[in-house]
Formats: sequence, C-alpha cells, structure tokens
Amino acid sequence: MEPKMRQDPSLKSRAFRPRERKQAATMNVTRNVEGLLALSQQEQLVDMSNSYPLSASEDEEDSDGERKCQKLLEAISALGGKNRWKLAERSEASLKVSEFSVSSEGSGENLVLSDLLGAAKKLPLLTVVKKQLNRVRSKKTVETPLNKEEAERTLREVAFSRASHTLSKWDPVVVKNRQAEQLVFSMEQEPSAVAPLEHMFSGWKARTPLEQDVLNLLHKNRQPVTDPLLTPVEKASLKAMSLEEAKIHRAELQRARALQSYYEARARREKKIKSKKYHKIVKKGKAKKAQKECEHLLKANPNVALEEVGKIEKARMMERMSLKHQDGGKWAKSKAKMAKFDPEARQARQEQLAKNRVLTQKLQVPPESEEEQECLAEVATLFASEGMSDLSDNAPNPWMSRGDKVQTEPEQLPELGAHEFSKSEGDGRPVVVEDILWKYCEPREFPRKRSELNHNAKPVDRQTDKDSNSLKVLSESMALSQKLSHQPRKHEMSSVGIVKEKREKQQMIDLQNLLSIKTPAVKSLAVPTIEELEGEVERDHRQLIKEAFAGDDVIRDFLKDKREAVEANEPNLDLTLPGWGEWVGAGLKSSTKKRRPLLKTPEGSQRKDKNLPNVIVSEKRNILMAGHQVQVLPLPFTHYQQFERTIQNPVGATWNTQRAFQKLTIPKVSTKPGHIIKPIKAENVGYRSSSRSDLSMLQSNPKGLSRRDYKQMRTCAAD
Amino acid sequence: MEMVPKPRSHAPAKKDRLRAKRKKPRRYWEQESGASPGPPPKKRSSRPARPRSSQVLRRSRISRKAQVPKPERRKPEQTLSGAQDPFPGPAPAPLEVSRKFRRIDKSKPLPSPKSKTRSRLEAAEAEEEEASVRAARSELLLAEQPGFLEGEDGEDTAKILQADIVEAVDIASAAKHFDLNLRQFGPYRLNYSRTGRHLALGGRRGHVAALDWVTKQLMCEINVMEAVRDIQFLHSEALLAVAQNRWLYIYDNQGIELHCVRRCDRVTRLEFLPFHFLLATASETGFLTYLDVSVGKIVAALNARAGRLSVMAQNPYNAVIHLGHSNGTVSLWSPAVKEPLAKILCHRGGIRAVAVDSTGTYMATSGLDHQLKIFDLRGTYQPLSARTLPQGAGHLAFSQRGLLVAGMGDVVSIWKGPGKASPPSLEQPYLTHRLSGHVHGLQFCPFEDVLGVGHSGGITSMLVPGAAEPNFDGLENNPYRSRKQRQEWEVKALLEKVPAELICLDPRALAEVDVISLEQRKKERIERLGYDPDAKATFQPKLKQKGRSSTASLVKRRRKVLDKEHRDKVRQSLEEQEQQQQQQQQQEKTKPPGTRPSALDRFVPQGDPWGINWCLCLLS
Repeated sequence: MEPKMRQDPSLKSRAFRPRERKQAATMNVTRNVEGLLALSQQEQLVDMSNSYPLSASEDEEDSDGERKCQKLLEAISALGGKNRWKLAERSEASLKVSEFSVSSEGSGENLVLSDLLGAAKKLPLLTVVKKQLNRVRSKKTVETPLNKEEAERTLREVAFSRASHTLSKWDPVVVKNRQAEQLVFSMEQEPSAVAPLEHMFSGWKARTPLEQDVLNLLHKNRQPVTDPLLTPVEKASLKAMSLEEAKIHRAELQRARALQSYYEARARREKKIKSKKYHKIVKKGKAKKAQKECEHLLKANPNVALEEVGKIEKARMMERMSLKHQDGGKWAKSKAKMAKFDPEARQARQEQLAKNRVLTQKLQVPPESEEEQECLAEVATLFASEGMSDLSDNAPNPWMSRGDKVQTEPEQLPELGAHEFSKSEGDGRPVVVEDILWKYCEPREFPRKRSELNHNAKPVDRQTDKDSNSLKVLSESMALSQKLSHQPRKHEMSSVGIVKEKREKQQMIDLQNLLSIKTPAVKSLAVPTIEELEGEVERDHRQLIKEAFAGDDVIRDFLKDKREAVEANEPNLDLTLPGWGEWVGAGLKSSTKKRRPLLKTPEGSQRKDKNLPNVIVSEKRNILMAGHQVQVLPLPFTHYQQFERTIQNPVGATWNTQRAFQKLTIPKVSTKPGHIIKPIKAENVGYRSSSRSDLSMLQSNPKGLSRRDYKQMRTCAAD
Repeated sequence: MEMVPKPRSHAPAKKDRLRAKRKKPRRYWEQESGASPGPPPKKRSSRPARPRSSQVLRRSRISRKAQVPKPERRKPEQTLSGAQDPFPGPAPAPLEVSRKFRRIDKSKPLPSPKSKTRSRLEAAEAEEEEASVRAARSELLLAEQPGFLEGEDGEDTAKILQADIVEAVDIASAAKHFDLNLRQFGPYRLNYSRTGRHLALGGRRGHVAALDWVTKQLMCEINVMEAVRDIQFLHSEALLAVAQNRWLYIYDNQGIELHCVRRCDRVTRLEFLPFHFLLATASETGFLTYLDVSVGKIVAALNARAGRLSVMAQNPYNAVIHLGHSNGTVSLWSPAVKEPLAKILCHRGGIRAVAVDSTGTYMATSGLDHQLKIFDLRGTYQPLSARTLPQGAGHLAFSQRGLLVAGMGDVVSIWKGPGKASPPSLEQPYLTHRLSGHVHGLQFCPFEDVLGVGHSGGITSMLVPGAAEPNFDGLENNPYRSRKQRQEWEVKALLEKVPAELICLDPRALAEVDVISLEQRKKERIERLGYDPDAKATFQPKLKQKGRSSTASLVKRRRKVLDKEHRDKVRQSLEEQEQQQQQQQQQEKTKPPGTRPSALDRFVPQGDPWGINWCLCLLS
C-alpha cells in the first residue's frame, strides 16, 4: 500500500481555500469521524488519481486546445499501457528546466479541472473518463486532521458505543443465565431428542427367520409394518369418526354461542330499564312464582321442598350476616331524614326496621338437659302461641347452644346473689372480670366474704349435686365472679307483642365457666368393678375428695401466678424517691399517687394469653432457637416477610417426594469432570455475530446458522 | 417408589386390617395375588377411566373435580403413525390433596415487592406448587384404606367383645390378641418400639422383658431386683431405658446393662423424643431432665417447681413435653427454656393423666375431679369437650389415627372421632374391655390395630380396628427391616438429628426470620453509619429554568412535599383514633345500662379529645 495521506497536486490546489477551511473548522465531530472512517475509500481515489498522470503541468497555453487534447488522448491511451511512467515531453522553454517533468510555471495560472472537462465534452468516447473525473470533483477534500487527543477521544467514544452495542445483545442471555435454575456445562450439547417409535422402526429390517416369519404374517393380513401403524380400516374409521364428531361438536358450539348471546342481550336490555316500578313488579312476580313452586313441591316431593326451604333459610342467614337491613345505609339514612315529612318514606323505613328485627332475632334452640328444658318450657309455649314455634325447632347451632348452656347455668343458684341477677352475662371484656376477680382474691377482703358465701354456697351444692357426677365445688371466688358477671335480665316487649329475650353474646371465655361446665357423665357399659363392689366406699371417697379440694382453691392460685407472670413482664419501675416532697420515717408510706408506676407497657404489645384466662403463655424469648434463625436479610429482599415466604417450603427429603427433593436440591452449576468449559458463543445462544471478533468465530464455524437461529436473532434485535 | 411423609395428615388407612396380616413376606417375583406380607390390596378403588382426551389446564397442573368440560379441547400432537397419546399433558392431580401439602402461608399480607424480589417469590411459589402436586400424586401409592368396626343398625360397637372380634378376623390378626398372665411381678408398664414390632414390659417388682411380639420371640428377660417405674425403647429396639427405683438404667436387647445414669435419679416417667434423640425423664424430685442419648450428655435439667412429677406426655408434633401437676395445671416444656412455655389450668383437682394426639392438635387430660377433657392445642388451649367418668381415668393414650383410650380401674374405654382430624367424641365409647387387673400402662401399637395394656395381671394385647396408620414409610419406620437396614437407618437418623434448642411450640419457627435481632442489627448499623441507608431519600426539588429555581421557590416546593407527607401521617392517625373511639362507644353501648354512674367516673380518662383537636389544628 502507498502512504495514506498522499495527495494529488490538483486536489491540493482546490483544497485549502479559506472558506472551506472555515467550514471544516465548524464541522462537528461526527463529520470528522465519518471522514476518518471514509479514509479507506479516499485512498482508493487517491490511487486512481495517481495512476492517471493528469497533471496540469503538461498543458500549455489556452490557445493550444488541440494540443492539450492530443496530450490528454495520449495520456489516456497510455492508461492501460505498459509504459505508464513516460517522461514528459518538453515543448516549451521555461525558467526551470527539469529533466523529469514539466511545470506550468510561467503561465501564471493554475489548471482547473473544469477546463479539462470542457474539452472532453465533445468526445463521446471519453464518457468513462468523464464520469471518473466528475466523481473526483464531487468528492470533498479531506478536512484538517483533528489534534491527536481529540481524535483519540472520538475514537474511544465510538469504539465504546460500538462495543456496548455489540455486547448489549448478550443482556438477555446473561439475565436468563442468572435466573436459570441450573447451568449445565459444556453448553454445546444438544438435548438428545426422543425419537418417535416409528422413526426407529424405519431403518429396521427383518433378519432372523423368526422376524421374517412375523413380517410375512403381517403382510399376509395386510397389517401395516413400518410407517403408519394403523390399518387402512382403522384409519378410515378414525377419519369418519372425527368428521362426525367435529360436526356435532360444531353444531353444539354454535348453539351454545347463540344462546349465550341471546341471554346476554336480554340481560343487557333488562338491566338498562331504570323503572323502579318495573323492577318491583319483576321481584314480586319472582317471589310469587317461587312460592307457588314451593307449594307445588310440598305436595309432590316433600324432600326436595325441604331442601328448598333449607336454601331459603340459608339465604336468610346470609342476609342476616350481611346486615343489609341495618339502619346505617345510605338509603335508610335518607329515608330517616324524609320520614318526618313523607308518609311513604316513613312506611318504607318501618318496613325495613321490621325486616331487620325479624332477621336479627335469635333462633331458639331446643335445650339439651332437662333442667334447661324446664326453664325454657314457658318461653317455648309463649313462642308457640305466637306462631313462632317454627323458629325454635331448628337444627341446634353449637355456638348458640353453648351460649344457652352458660346462660342457664346460674339459674340453678338463684340464692347466690343478694340481688336478682339474670343469666345473660354480656360483659364483653374479660379483663374487667379478671380484675375484679383479682381484687376479691386479695387476702384482706377475702375471709369476710368467704364466711358469708360459704353459707350460701353449700346448700346450693347439695341441691344441685343430686347427680354426684357433676362436680360443683364452687369456690368463693367463683361464686363472686358469677355474681359479678350477671346482669339484670332485660325483657323487651316489642310493639307487636312478641316476647323477645335479648341476649348479648358472651364474647369472653370465663375461667370459672371453663372449669365448671357441666359435663354429662359417661354412660359406660363396663363400669369399673371396684365401684360396683364398694359403691358406698367410693361415694364416701368422692365426698372426701370434694371436701379436700374445696378449700384448696386452684383457680385463685392460678390467677395469682398469672398476675405475677404478667407483672414480671411489665417494665413498670418504681421511680419514687423516698422523702421527695413528703414526710418520711418509720411507719410512713408514700402516697399512692406517687407510687404509681411511671413507665407503662407499650400499648401495641399484648400478651398472647390476654384473652385466655386459663392459660399462662411464657413471653420469654427462646434465644437458643433464635441463634438458628435467619438474622440477616439476603440482598434482593427488602422486607423479612418476603424472605420468609421463600424459605417456608421445606427442601428436605423428609417432606418431599424423591423427585421433588431432587429438583429442589439441584446444583446451581453442573459440570462434567474432564471436559473443557469453552466460553459462550453467539451461535450457541442463537445470535449471528456482526462484530469482528464474532466474525472470526463465524469463520471457525463455516456451517453458519440455521433458519431458526436467524429468527431468534431477529426477535432479540427487536427486543 | 415415592413415599410421602405427611405432616399432620391422616392418611387413608386400610379397611379391615385385621384380616390382613400374613406371615410370609412377599417377594417381588411373586404374583400380587399370592402371599402378600401385609394386607392384600383389597377394595382398592381402581383408577377412574379418564376420557380419551382429558382436558388439561394449561397454567396449573391441577384439575378440579367439579369441572365443566370445555367445548374447546387441545389437540394432542399428531405423530407420524396417527397414533395419539390418549392422555396428553401432565397427569392431573387432585386439588384438595395438593392443598394439604402447601406450606407457604399466604394469609399474611406482603409489602409490595420489587421486580427482582418478585421473581424470587414467584420461583418459590412455583416450587411449592410443584412439590405439593407431586406429593398429592404420590398419595396414590398409599394403597391401604382406613376402616372401623361398624355395628349393624342400632348395634353398639362398645358391646362387641374382643372374643367376637377375634372370631371374625383372620388367623394372623387373631394371633395379635393375647394375654400374658404375669401375676407374680406386679402391675406392668409397657412400650412399643417406633416400628411397632417390638414390645418392652417392665413389672413393678423388677421384671423387665423385651420381645418381638408379632412372632412372640423373646429377646431378653431379666429381673433387675429393684422397683421398675417405667420402661422405654430408645431410637431403636436395640436399646432400652428402664427407670428403676434409684437410677435410670439403659440395657441392650440382650438384657446387658450398658449404662447407669446417676444424674437421673428417682425417675417416675420416661419419654423418648425420636427426632432429637432425647430421653426426657420426670423425677420425684421435681426435675425434668433431658438426656441426649446420641452423645450421652444431659442437655437440660429443669426444675418444674411443682413437687413430684408423675404425669408426663410428649407432643409428637413439636416434641414439647407436657407435665401434669397436682394443682390442676399442665405445663409445657422445652429444653431450651428454663420456664414452662405455657401453663394450662385444666382441672380442679390434680392431673392424673395427659396424652397428646399425633398431629399435636388435641390434648386429653384427666384429673382427680373424675373428668376427662379434650383441649385444643392450636393456640387457644380451650377445652373442646369434657365428660365425667365414673371413676376417673388413670391412664390415657392416643392412637396414630386419633383414637383415645382411657384406663379406668380395670376397664379400658376407647373413643373415636366422627371424621378425619376431629377430636374423639366422648359421647359414646367405640370399644370397651374389662381386664383381669388394674390398668397400669397403655399404648397403641404403631402401624398395627393393636392396643397394649399393662395391668396388675400382666399384659393384654387388644384388637382395636382402625387404630393405627396403615401405610408405613419404609425409609422411616419399617416393621420388616433387617438388621442391616436398621443400622443404615440409624446412621441416617443420627445425621438428621434435630438440635434440642429447636424445640418450641411452633415447629415451623425455623422458617421465620429472627425479627428482633434483625432490627437490632439495623439499628446498630444506622448508629455506626450515622444515617439510615435504607431510608427514603429526602425530597430534592428539580432544577428549573427561567428563574423558577430561585431559593425561595425551591424551599416552597420542598415544603409542599413535606407538608403532604405530614398530612398523610396526620390523617392516618386521625383515622386510627376514630376507630378507637368507635370501639369505645361500642363498649359503652355494651355496658349494662343498669349500672349507676359513679361519682368517680369523672376521673376516668375519656377518648383523647386533645389529640384530635391537635390533629385538626395541624390539618387546617
């Protein structure tokens, strides 16, 4: 190659005009870059211009056009020739005579290319040359080279952008590999596809006599041997079946679609109707229809009717649950406002209230034990007389029945309290009960009450404990608590006159109730022999136990324990300074106000056993256990709950099937021992490389890429 | 074969196991109809024939049972031959069953994750789903189905005598009913090994024996010449722990004394925690001692501070030890904590017996007040049902499938629940049996429908249909294992030993993050760095052109954002206060109106009106 920046004198002459220079200076960097990149092309041009000795120096005076022309012709004819480097002919005397070349000095004028072209206009044979010359003219001259630093910087920038562009296509691959469950090296291996059976058979030939026999047999019976494994008959039947099926199927589909569209259209139409009256009428019609059907069913099929009734009941329950008919709705509020002025609104509101009343009424459950039955008999008769008996003969709801049981219990001890207390114990706050209990557990107040209550409690025990199985060893505190938890029963007479017993839910599990729930005795077939033999003794023994444990108040001890546990956990500190603001001395106590703890437990931290009166759950932290727990969040997670979710699924073989275990514990990277792990290649991932380095790789794999790879590549590029 | 171990699940057990047992072990080359070791596969519901091209949900591999067949079906891929895969797609798995194996608790709300985290979470959920589906599919391999005695209409199963049952069942099962008449050495305690193959018995007067009770082959028989209080197999049948009058002794299956553990003295009850290799002993001195039998060290000695301990049971679900006390409480213990994890007041009198069912859901207690109660252990500790027994139960035990047995005097009563995972209903006993002496020890045999009763007249092995889990995990508890297999298992079990510190009420606590120390670390880091690296950056207003980025306007903009945040905070706190007020109002409503207002009411703090006013001021 020749040196790159060699320039023709003719070009030079045009190149450095002041204006052009200015332009070059203002040219932005990218143009420069383009210029730089275009260098290679220019080189070619330079070569060309060199090869044609079109130097202007050969020309003489303007007047000598023909001569010029001839010279040119000669030069051109010499283009393809062997003697390219002819010595110029000297035709004129000049100041400087060189034996190698001619100079136009003296003529005082530069040669311009257009002059040459003008001369060449007339010659049709020279079109090729003309074109070339034109091209040369149209080419801009090369700009001044940038200074070194700038040029290098621009080069670097371009190189970087190119490299990053070429590398960016690897991004999806990298992401995929990072997220992959497992990376298998070496990567070139293709998964061995499982060939269908037929493919395997296609290359097979019968060799042994047995095989040949079998083949013969098959041929005789016109059974297919290799390719389609179905007999022609089978094939035909299959085809026929499929067509028929398809037709039926299609018809079905059409029908369904049409029906659906009809229904949809209808529903849409009806939904649009805004008339309230219309909707009311529709609703009424539906209700009537349902009623009729129900009656019909009652006659025809009582079982189904029962189910229907059950459904209605369920709907009622749903409605009851949803509290739709409460007074708080938007509509209800508006009606309440209008009720003063508008009789219709008043009526509507009343209707809703009535409905609410009916819905929220508690169903009566048939009581279990005899005593309860007795006590509820009156109520039941009342209900029956009012035609409400249907409410009471429902299936027993365990929740309700439990409440009933608890409620009815205290009726057995009517004399307990000095005042009349009813059974519905509606205090929703267990803490209050406990507090009160504790208060009464205080030894100071205790003995007095005890003496009072023992008096009352004992005869009660005798009365109720006819059935000696039910242990009603009522301690004082228990009696007290029951007394305290009772409330006057509320009897409410509604405007209609229905007696309604309003009971409030027992939200809290009472410790006393827990332990004193009346438990039915087991009717065992085999009674332990000892009892049969010495029943009397046994009874005495039981009495003994009862008496032994009557004084020994388990509950009180437990509550005391619990209180201690709770207090031990509280950070209450006694911050009193003795003598600060008051008198001190022997026998003087600081005032209660000052003894109040200043630090209180934070509101949010509740004990786990706050609502469980019979339990003390330790709040102590298991430090040894915490040592095994995760204490630092791994990186992508920002919240511990997110991380917890990922570790909740156990991995071990104890909790998983063999396969699941293997899959869960698959290694992140698997390699083959003794195999070289080659760097990743573009074609392995489905790319066609364009950069030079990738080109080299392509050359090493002359096969090129498959169609699929192209497609993939295109999609990647689109991404 | 994939055996699925199931956490807290009730696997289907076989029907009428009693007829099932054959002595001859089945070989793989034999036909299935031939002699099979366990029960022949009876009444195994054949796989329902699926439609030719069953539709498969694309997304999940789960098919619902009540699924309306969609008209559009995915066409199976055509092969060259035209032959089609009759069951295209992955095999369906029952949804209900797979739900049972889901372990990720999705009830807790998650703070919205970023994309990277989300992909991790999704991966974890996909893994869980796949594992659960696989587990659900392999349920098919649990071929045996459960079954109970069912009386003909009106017939009470409790009236059925053991003799009747023995008459009805096959010879192999009938052989499992036997009586050992050992009147000489007093009331007996007994213990079955974990595989259910071996039985150890210890008489009060020193008689200790171990036998393969299925073949009735005696392994060893000795007299320790001392009172025997309790007996317990360790992890395998090769080791035997005996609580004698003074110390705790360990014998091997030849009857050779291996150890005398003097640190455990006057032991009354023994319990072995198989996954932790811990032997828990309750002593007369009031100590609960945990002995690690794999290394021979005492892990913890806890003072229960409740006098003599003689009632103990373990919760097989979380390896927590339940101790019954004379003050009517049951306390729950872990070797990692010095105080009881929980204390439950159960009875008015002292506790006589405690038992916990295999799923760790129910606890049965009986007290001196002659009551038998069943408690719920899932956080509430409330009694679910209670009965008064004529003479109180001195011993209680749960079977693998949730049957409850109570020994009262010389009578044994068994109750069963109405369904799967339900507590035994104490309404009607399922079976009763009278023994020749007073009951002194009870245990259901694992993987056999047998109840072992130790009493003053010896040992009785009763048949209780439906008591045990019919499908055993051959890798875990194989009743038919050879010596070599047992050794292999022993090595594996030792490798998988769970540290004693991990015993706590919720065994899944290991899958939780230690939040307290996490926050502690965070706080320390903030202190060290001087700022919170995770905190949201304070708002930096953008630079704007044309003179709008003057200092004043910057401050204004910043203030705007700050105010907005502040307003949000205040609004939130206001809402909370309103809620509180509403609650208070509700409480007031529920307050009995009859109570008279007291003069002291004025000192009761009300609401917090100041706070609200303050907030309102801020808002305006």
